[in-house]
Amino acid sequence: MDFGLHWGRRKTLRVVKVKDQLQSTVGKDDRISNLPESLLCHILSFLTTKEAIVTSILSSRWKPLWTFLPKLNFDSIEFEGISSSAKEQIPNQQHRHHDQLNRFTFAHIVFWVLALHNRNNVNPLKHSRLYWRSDGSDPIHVKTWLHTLLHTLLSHDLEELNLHIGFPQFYIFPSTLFNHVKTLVVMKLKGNIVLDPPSSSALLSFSSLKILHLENVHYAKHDSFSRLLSCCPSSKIYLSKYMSWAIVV
Amino acid sequence: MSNTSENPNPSSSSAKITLKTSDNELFEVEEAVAMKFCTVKQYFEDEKDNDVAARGSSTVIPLPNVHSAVLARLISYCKKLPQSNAVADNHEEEETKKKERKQYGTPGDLVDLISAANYLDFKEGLEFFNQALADHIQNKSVEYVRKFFGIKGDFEPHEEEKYREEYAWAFEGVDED
Repeated sequence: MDFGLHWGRRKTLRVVKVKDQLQSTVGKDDRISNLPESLLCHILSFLTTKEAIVTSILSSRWKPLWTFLPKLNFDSIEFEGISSSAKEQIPNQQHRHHDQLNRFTFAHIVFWVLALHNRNNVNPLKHSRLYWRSDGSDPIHVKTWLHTLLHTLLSHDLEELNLHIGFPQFYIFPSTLFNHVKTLVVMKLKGNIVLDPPSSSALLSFSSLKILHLENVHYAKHDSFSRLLSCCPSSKIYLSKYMSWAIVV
Repeated sequence: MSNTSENPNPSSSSAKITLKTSDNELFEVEEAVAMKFCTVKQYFEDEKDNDVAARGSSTVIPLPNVHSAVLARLISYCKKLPQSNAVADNHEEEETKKKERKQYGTPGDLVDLISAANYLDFKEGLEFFNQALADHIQNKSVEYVRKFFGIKGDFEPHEEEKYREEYAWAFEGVDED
């Protein structure tokens, strides 16, 4: 097999020796922790926020790393088992543990993580992915949570918003949020989201937007979609091939 | 086409660059491959500016931070790049990519490849190997990751206990092995 490289002398001997050296280090020396912080953060960026937080208990070296990541990545399915096991505990728990139960709902966890992340201003949030299926919470509460959450996220000069609503109720994307989308480069919305952009284009400007994915979302009015597009620098926009919509009257 | 027996891809540049590793092995690689390593590219361009006669196969670029075993694997990865760098857009593709990443096995190997790719400023390689390493952390228990990578927990037992309680939700639902 030609690898396009030409070995120097004694190649076979060398390779065997090196392989032995590599094998002998496995599980003994902690070489991963000696990698520069930027590389460790890059590695963690491939994980969900929950998975990245687990690494914070590995050692003091790892503890703060997840808070340096400029992204949040949550999928409520990661917490479904936790929510139900927390619920099962209710009858056995004393009333004073009630706040502990709340801490286990998806919404609480997301906000708690966001607050911890914001405490450290080294790397402000740039990317956010949130897939909210259903955590069994009262839908009205979920809407309030989402509203506050999106306002908080978008006030951070966010560059990527990836929101997927999987619960059966419609979530009306608050029209006031369109005032805060100037920094967004990527916006991907999917599922039961109703879009109702403001009629005045002065209030709505995706001046940085390059990628817009709209999948199975809904529109409040007949001209909502065209209004949305008229505020995008259309020459740069890439519309998802999955784009589909329905009008909600 | 008569002279292409040693170069199966006639469209690629036939210019070769010699890289010298930390253990004094010499690697003669195609210029197109070597230029993927930004550190090499920078060195090569600086040399070219300094001395026109130093061009081509006579240039030996020293890589004092890279071992020959690691460089050989980086170069072979580089050769496969076209099919490796496309973004997976469905579950099946992602699984195939995961299998491909698994071939770069042991934690020691991966750390070596990452360090070398970082030194060489080889961006596609860093992306690939960092993700390969993340695969070994993803959804694994703390105990597994510590053992796999030889990481020693340095918290006081009561400190770790408290921390685990505080973040209890994060530790639920992970694989134990």
